[in-house]
Amino acid sequence: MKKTSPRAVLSLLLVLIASACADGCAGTRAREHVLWPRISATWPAIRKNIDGGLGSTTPTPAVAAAIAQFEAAVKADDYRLLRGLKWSPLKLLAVRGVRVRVEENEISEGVSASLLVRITKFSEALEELLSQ
Amino acid sequence: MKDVKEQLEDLLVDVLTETRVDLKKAPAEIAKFAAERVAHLATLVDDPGFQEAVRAERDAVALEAGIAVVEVADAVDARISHISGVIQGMLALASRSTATP
Repeated sequence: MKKTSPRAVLSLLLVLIASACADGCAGTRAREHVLWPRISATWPAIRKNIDGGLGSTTPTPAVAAAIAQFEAAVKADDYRLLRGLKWSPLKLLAVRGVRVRVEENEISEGVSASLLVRITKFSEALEELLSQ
Repeated sequence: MKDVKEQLEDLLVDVLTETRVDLKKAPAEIAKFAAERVAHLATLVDDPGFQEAVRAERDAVALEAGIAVVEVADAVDARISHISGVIQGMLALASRSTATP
């Protein structure tokens, strides 16, 4: 029987390991186990900002659909359900929600800056999450 | 007793630990971002809504750390994909050279 050289076995192992991860397994895991939990944990606060931005107005069908899509993803704990999310209108509403509270003297300018930083980071995190 | 700034720093370190990021080993951008946020919070202690600002900054730092973790993971994937391509190319060349009479 022909002997297989250790170098050939090592090469085969390297190819198998590399092929198994070539589809981006580290990135997928980081998105699923690190970034998504942070985003879903932050969603209730962002949702509160969005609701504040809506005030007493009825959300447009697009906004209502985007909110429902996010709620479904959080409930199912599956970020893949966010594919195709129209985030921009929600972000605008969240920012408006913070501004309204400043105008009503409920929070200070400084506190609003903190809330706006959270919205910005939430946006960036969403972009990173869905970039794969 | 620790002052407010120190307490806030402790809070943000806890958040980074939860996100599996060691502040001492974290990329400089995260440490810088966390320091900026702590400095901002320290100016708001007497403002209405301060507690809400603390929660918002905690979330922002955790999100920033999460983004950094994903970027590092993507870089690892890109390197693995590159190595995979090199190894497969070398093996293809080797098999072609051994198959040629």
